[in-house]
Amino acid sequence: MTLALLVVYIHLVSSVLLVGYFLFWLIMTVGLERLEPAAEVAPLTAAMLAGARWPPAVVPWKLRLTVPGLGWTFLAVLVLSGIAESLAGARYPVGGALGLKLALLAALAAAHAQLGRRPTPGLAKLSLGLALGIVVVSVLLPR
Amino acid sequence: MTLYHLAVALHVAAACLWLGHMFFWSLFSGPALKKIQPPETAGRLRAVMLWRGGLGWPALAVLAVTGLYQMRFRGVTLGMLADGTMLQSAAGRIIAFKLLLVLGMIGYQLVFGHRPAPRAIYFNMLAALLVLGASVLLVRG
Repeated sequence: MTLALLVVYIHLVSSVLLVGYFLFWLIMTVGLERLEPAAEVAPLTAAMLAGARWPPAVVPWKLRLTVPGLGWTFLAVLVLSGIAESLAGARYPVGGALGLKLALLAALAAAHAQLGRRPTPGLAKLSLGLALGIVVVSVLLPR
Repeated sequence: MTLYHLAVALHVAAACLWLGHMFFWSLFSGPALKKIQPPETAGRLRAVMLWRGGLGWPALAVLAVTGLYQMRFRGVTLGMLADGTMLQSAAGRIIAFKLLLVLGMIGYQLVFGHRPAPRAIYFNMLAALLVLGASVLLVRG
């Protein structure tokens, strides 16, 4: 496997993880909304945002990633591997499918910034939709 | 967007949803939520996460239909696998390897489904990573 193929592989795996991440948010926020009593929702959400850290062991607590931190990490890997793909020879005309993909990515980053602070089912649906939209638009990029 | 593009888009989206859910739950959210204190809160959050399952079979159905369509589009049929002609080219061998792994993953889905499988899940995830690698080789290799 050449370096260029390895970069494509990393890009694909991080796309899979990012979609899984937003699916997690959708399942979690909708699940929380269905909870009875509703007064439990805010403390459970706060506990998840502050207390769920990855990796769960080995690394000191302060250095562990929060759940939104995981999302930012996946996004960063996607952007960096996407740039690396471009540098490795994939020349796409800016505009058209690539322009749409970058616009969707910017919208996803904005939605994620909000989702990481105040998660709601609506934001989770929007984010997952945007992530899947990016996947669909990527198929249209010329090879 | 052509019918072929649509098939590829559906194939990749279904793979991202199915495998993404498996990877993120098994490697990231599951272990991270388990460590929340107090343990009752961790248990409550894990219970909340389990309200929705059963993504595997619908995703597999989409993957099978769109995957077979893409093979046909590229002039590859299952008959070519049966009579061995597919194995004469490098791409054919990669497809055969990918199909073998997918069969293994279907077996996992049949045996374990949405039930916990602390050891088998790692073999399933390894198979998924190899399937993704084979896909990259097929499209870009």
